[in-house]
Amino acid sequence: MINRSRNTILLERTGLVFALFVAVFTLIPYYWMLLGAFKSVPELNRIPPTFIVEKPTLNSFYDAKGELPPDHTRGLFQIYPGTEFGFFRYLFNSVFISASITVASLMIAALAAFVLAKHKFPGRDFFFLMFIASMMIPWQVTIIPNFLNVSDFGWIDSYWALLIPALPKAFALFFLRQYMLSLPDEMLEAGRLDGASEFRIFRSLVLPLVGPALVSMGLFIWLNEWNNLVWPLIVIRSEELRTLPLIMTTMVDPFSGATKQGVAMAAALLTSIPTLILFIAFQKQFIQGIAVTSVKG
Amino acid sequence: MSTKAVSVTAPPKVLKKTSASSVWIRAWRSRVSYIMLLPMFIPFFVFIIVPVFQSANVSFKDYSAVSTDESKYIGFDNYTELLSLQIREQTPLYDEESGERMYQCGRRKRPESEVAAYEAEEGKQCTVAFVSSRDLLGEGYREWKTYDLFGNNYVIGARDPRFWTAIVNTLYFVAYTVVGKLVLGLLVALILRKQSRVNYFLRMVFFLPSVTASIAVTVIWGWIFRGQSYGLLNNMLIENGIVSQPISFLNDPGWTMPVLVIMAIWGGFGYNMILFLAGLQNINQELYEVAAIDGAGPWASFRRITWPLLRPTTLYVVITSIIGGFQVFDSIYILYANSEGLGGPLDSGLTVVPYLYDKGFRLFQMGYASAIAWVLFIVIFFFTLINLRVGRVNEAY
Repeated sequence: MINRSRNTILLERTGLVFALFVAVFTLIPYYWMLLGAFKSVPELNRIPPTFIVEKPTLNSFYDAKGELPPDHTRGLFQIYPGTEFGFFRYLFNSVFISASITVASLMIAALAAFVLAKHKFPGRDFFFLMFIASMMIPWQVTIIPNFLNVSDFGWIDSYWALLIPALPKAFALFFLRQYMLSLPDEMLEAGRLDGASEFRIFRSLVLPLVGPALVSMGLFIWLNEWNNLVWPLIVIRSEELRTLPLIMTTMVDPFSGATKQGVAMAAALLTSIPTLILFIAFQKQFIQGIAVTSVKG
Repeated sequence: MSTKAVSVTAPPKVLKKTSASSVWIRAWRSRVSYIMLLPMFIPFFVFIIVPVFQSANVSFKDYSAVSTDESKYIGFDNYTELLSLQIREQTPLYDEESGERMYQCGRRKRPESEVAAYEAEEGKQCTVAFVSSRDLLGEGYREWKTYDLFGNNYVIGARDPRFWTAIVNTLYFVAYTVVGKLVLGLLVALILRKQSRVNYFLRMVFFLPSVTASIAVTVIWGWIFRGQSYGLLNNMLIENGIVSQPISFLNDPGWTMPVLVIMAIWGGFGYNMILFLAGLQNINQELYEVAAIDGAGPWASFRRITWPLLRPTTLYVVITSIIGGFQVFDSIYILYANSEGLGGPLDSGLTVVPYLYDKGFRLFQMGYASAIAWVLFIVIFFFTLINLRVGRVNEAY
């Protein structure tokens, strides 16, 4: 008896050590990013590298002295003179696109989910099946015709191309419908007896009750859109419409020196911060969203 | 108001038989439902349903930037071009006049009688020369790989060798990432299973990569794996005397896939951990207590209780990781956008989706790229079906 519990304790200790080891492995890239973003140019070039920033500076973001090698560089907010507002514009593009898609796609999905969960009408099951079946189609199949269609619409190189095709999210509809099925019919019926229209019932009764589901799904959609690389890559041509993932593709240059890496780390930091803030604020919903969607597959 | 009509569906007695007219009447009464469905349905129809059929259609066409007639149907040609393979045994080359066996010495081929003299003079070994694979393979085929099996040499030819390279690389990527993410995710889930503050903190740490912009992360890894001496990993390796020269992780074909796999495992195991933690929560704790009374150690209770009861989660994790692995694109694009054909050094990092992108959006062979997409779809669909079937079995028990 005593022997076994000692074994168990040993196992737990080993497990914890292993977990700490994995935690270091997980955090190294973040630490390296922070170091790189705040190092000065001479420190960036030092070999071996320093693991604590000796003189933290914001030069990789904005260097007031401009291009004065060897000690200075042009920061992230200075290297896009061709675009009005420079890097701010790209930050705005990403926030604007991701936020608009998240809100709009959630709204239309919730509306459709409400109808499919709580209304009875001819063809309902057919519509539902079609939405479900579409979730099996990988984006690689639709991307080529969508590119051709968007070209035909004349949307290439515009916000429309980024926004409109991203709106229909079948998985959001599926998730929200499952959630809405559990809403009591009596409550909706009471609303109807009070003379509320279906839109009103949706807005004032259904939406508030599915708030947690909306947050989980919203975070999920936001994250995907924030990371979306392929679609902007295909439909965006002009510099000022680029989103952050497109900027990041220019940051890995096998022949650039260490100095440029400082700017790259600054860009990586600013790209990852918004999602990290959201994650810290909504940890529970993030994790619930994953756990719940997986249970139903 | 007319909106009320929705709830006032006619009592079921009246509608025992669904005649055609009654369907239309019911549909008219449900018009509000349809109106509420439309904002979702219209973009869904335009950007998902229609494109699926368009994509299938285009995949049977010679639809490309260079073709003059975009509507020209070529049947299954795109698919046969993509999937054709040919295996031929390599036959030794003999001199046409003397009938002597030929050897490859440096750049030139020499008959057997001259080999000894050449080797003595140049100090280089000669190897057996084979009939060139171009003569062995059918028209339109190019050499993809040569194999030595039981002393016989084989040459595998393909009409599109790059596609097969992409397939092999993708399978490699899928195999290693699925196993890596599964094992690491399960291990940390088991370790952090109990509720405590430290465990909660560590869970958050492991989940961090799943919510960080993967695009940004690839840029950071790019610097860590850099070939020059200021790449973090190389620096540490050199300082600790493990290697003397920096390894060019990003430019050495042998390192391309391992680097991509490490990045993918780093980015994905935390997500699997969350799924496993959810699965572990559903296991009744009393089972472990009973097992402990029976004298079962940690390993026995894992093998007899945890592992079997986690099976549904494990299968879900494996299937979703496989599907995700087949679709890898971002990290390869970020690291190798400048390389020719988007495949990294010597196509060592070429996988299916970057190849599709290269064909479709760099070479503008839309028809061919669509065929690639459909081959990928069929593979993914196969795994989705397994997932659905397994899901049904789970519900049963």
